[in-house]
Parts: sequence; C-alpha cells; structure tokens
Amino acid sequence: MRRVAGFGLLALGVVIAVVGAVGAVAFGPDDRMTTGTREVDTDARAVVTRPAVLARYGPQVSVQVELPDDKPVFLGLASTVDVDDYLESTQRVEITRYRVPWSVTTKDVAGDPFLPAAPTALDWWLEATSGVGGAQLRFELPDETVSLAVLAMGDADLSGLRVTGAYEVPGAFGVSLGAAVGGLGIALLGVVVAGLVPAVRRRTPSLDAAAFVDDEWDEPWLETDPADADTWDDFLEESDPTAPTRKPSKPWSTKLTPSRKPRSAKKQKPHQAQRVPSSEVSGTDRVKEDA
Amino acid sequence: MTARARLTAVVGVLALVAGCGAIPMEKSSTEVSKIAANHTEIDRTYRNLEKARGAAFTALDPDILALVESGSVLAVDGGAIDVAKRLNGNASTGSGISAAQVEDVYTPRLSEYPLWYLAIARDEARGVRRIQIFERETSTDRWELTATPEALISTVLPVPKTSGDELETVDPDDGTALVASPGDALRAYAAALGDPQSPDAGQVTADSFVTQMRAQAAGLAKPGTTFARTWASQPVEHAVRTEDGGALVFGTLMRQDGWVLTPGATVSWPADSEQRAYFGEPMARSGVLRYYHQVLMYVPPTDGVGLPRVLAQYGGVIDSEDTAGIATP
Repeated sequence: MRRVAGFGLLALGVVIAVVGAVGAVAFGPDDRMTTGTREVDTDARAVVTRPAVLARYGPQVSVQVELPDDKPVFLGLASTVDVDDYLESTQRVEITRYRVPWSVTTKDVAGDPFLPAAPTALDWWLEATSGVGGAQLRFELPDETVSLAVLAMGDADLSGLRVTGAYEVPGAFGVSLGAAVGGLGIALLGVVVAGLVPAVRRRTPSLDAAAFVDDEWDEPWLETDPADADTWDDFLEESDPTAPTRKPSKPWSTKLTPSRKPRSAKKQKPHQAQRVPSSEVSGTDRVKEDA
Repeated sequence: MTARARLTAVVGVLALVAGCGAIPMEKSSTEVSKIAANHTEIDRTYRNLEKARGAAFTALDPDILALVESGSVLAVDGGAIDVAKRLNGNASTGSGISAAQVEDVYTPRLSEYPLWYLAIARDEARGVRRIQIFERETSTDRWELTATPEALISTVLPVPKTSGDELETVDPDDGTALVASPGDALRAYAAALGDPQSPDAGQVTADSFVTQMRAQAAGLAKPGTTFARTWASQPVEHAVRTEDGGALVFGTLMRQDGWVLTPGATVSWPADSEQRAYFGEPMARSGVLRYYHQVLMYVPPTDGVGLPRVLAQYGGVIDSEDTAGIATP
C-alpha cells in the first residue's frame, strides 16, 4: 500500500512538474503566451473570427494588428450576432478555426468591397480601438459568443495585414515555475515513500538509552558567563580533584551533551554542585571514578 | 492528518488554483445569441426618445420623430402632427409631450436582428401606462420605438415571464397551450371589430375597445353621407409569455373610415377633429381616413379564464384620401 501511494505521488509530481515547466516556458517571464507575428493574406476590408475561434473565456487576450503604409485600421470585439449582421454583405475573410500557437483555417466570403457603416459609429462593440498603421486591443474573453473583427477604414483594405496574438495571464510564469518545483518535490516525496531510495534515518545509539536518563538537567548550570562555559574538559577537571590546573578553554567550545556523557557520569552528581576552583584541582584529563 | 498529508493537500490545492487561473474555461453556451440590450442602451434610448418627442411636438416636425420612432408609431405620431398643423398652423399644441418613468424592462435573448425589448413606462400626467416595444432593425440602425399601446394605470397587466433575466417569447403562429395563436387571435379581433356577426367574433371578447369603436362609428355616420368602416390586422411581430402561461400580443390594426356624400350634402365636423383637418369645413366631398391602432392583446392559456381581449391601445389617423366619389341618389 505504501509503495502504491509512493508511485502515485511520484506520477502526480512528475505530471505537475511537466505541466509547470511547459507553462513556464510557454508564458515566459512576461506572462504572455504569444502566437508570434503572423501575416494574413487578404485584400478584403474585413477579417473576422467565427465563434469557435474564441470558444473559451477567462484569460486576458492581447491582439496587435499592423498595416503597411499607415493605413487606418479598426479592431473590435463584439457579440457574434452584431458582427454577423454588420458584415453580412461585406467581402471578408472568416477565421473558422484556430489552434495554438498559430494554425488557422480561413474562408473567403464574397461581398461588397466596403463596410455598411463606419465601425467607430456603432455602439455595440464590447471592446474596440483604432489606429493608423496598427492598433492593439486587450480584452478579457467573455462568457458569450463573440467575434473579433479587423476592419479597414476609409478607402483602405487589409493587404499586408500582420497579426500578433497573446494570452496574458498575470503571474502565470511564477505559478508555473512554482508548480514545476512543487511537482518535483512531490515526485521526490513519492520516490522516498515508494522506497526507491532509503529514507534518512536516525542513527541508533550504541549505548543503552536508559543510561541517559539523567537528572542532572534538573539543576541549572552554574555558569552564566559565556566565557566560563562548561566544556567536556571542564567536566573532567571538575570530576577529578587531583587533575592539574588547566588553561581555561575557549568560550563556547563544545558543550557537554548527554550522548557523549559516560555512563558513570550519573554517579558524579555531587561534583557538579561543588565546583572546585581550577586553581585547587590537579591530576590528569582522565575520568576518575569514585571509589 | 499527518504533516505529510497536509503538505500534499496544500501542494494539490495550490496547483489546482494555479491551473484554474491559467487555463481558459469552456464557455457555458456556444449558441450564437445575445441579450437584446443592456441597461445603458435602454436608458440612453429612452432619454433620446423623450427628448426627440418633446422637440418634435414642440416644433411640429415629424422628421425629428423619425430619429427615434418607426413603423406604425411614427405613422400615428406623424399623423397627429399633421392634423395639428392643418388645424392650428405651426403653433404647437403641446400634445404628445409628457414625460414617463420606466417601471420595468424585459429583454429577450435573440439570435439575429432585428433586436427588440419590452419596456413599461408610467405616464402619471396622462394617467396611463405605456407598454412599449423598442426595436433595432439592423446592427447599423438606432433603437426605435415601434409599439406603444397605452393602458389606464388602473388596468392590471399580466406579468411577462422571464427565465433568469431573459424574457420568454411566443411564436406568433404557435397556439400551443393558448386558446388561440397570437396571430389568429388578432385576426379574429379585427374581424369582430368589423362585423359583430362574424364567425370569429365569438373567439374574442367584446371588450371596451370594441364597444368604444362601435359607438364612435355610429356617431360618424352623418346624415347625407354613406359611412363605411373596415378593419384589418397586420401580422403579429412580437408576443411574450406571461407568468400564467398566457401571452401578451403586440399587434397593429388598420382601420379605414370612408364617407361618400350624397349630391349637395355637406358635413360639419368638430373643430379639433381629424375630419375637419383633412376634409375642410364643411366637408363637401367624399373621402377616406386611414388609422392605425396598436393594441396589446392578452391571449389566455387553455386552462385560463375568458377569451382574448385588448388591454391597451394607441392609435390615430395616418393619412387621408380624397375619393371624390359622389353617392348615387
């Protein structure tokens, strides 16, 4: 069971990591997934998307169009009902299918070589902009059937039209990167849980654990001066009144820890409470057991 | 829950949230349609209508009305201005100018033009409630008022049925669950107005509008003239479902009043009448006046009470014709 869970975590982590990595690469640090600049070959007055092209909603989209020779251009997003009626009799190119990053299917529709009315005079555009030689429109895809229209204004047409589209998801790069890292973490966790590599284990003490039950910690250390901290050597000196006087150890040297404390230390408790000045003690560094 | 499980859950939630923000969602509907108008458009349209009507009736200029009205409403209002000008010159009578407050708006979801919506406005000064249809013929046209039957404020109107925010409409030729289809009900009503003995007369209610029109016709049959009145109906364009399962039908009836004068006969008409405006004083030749009457008809459901009846109307003369015919003695 533990092994199955481990492999599950591993698979999940890999998927998240891959998705995150792909997202991070796709969006890039500017949080934009772009189509690149693409040329649309037409001399019509209008290029319009069918509803299937903008079949999703949610993310912010940025569309930039460019026309040579400073031709005026209009870029608008509106309900398909409005756009269909507006361009019903106009020669146009319909983009019927789109796949990322740039795979489109188009259809040429014959009609009048002019628009029935100036697009700037209409009030049903959800989002619109216009410019000379180019225009850029940023909008959030709404949850209704909409069409995007690129329209030539005045006597101009759309020959030489270049389009750049991009999905904009604020923070997408960071989130994707986070997902990739998180996915790797989950995968690593899965590896450990599945037992594919030994987990980090605590080393088994060589001594009897019962021996470390020591009530010496019930009593505070006497020293409060960091310069006079207890060290292993201090302890040995304190334990052996015959030990020779030692030069004080460096401040904050290795402290005495229970795991390093010899089993016999339990019996030396009286010495800890009666600390003997170092000038009064002598003898060796060896631990001297009480008789 | 162990620390490891908690960590896994947190990572999972974060990944899910991240995914929701980044991945475009499938639209709830792929149907090509839209709510006919939003509140901004509706408010702007009504302000423009009030402003244009005020200016048109003040200046007695029907061209201004053409900016905000069309169809039979424009014909009726244009006729009213024409009558006023014929009777009073270019001096404004002030009629037709009264502000109203919009009480309710009902907008259907439509898949193609023309777009339209229903508004109910209260005209306190005249003591009426206007039940109006605004229509946009094409995407390049403006919103225009195309129907505005009026009911007394005391008249109880059936409540239009909505699904969510969308007004439910009824096909004018579909009589399912109704005592008659909207189109058939209006045709029967026109027939009943023209001939009380008509077989269709039993299919509709002889309401106050029928009574009023018959009484008026009797008053117009002046001595020395042969008076004839005919009625016809235009096809129904708008019908909406009511909460009781019935239908509110917007229709236009055409009425034609014709007088054929006997030789040497003359007719005198009231000072502010359209007959005087078009035929002069005294009337000494035969002629025809044509009228439009916009009606709001209620068609009950099959399990409802009563027969189709008119709840509101708005009408007036739209033009005249000098037939110059003289009745044979």
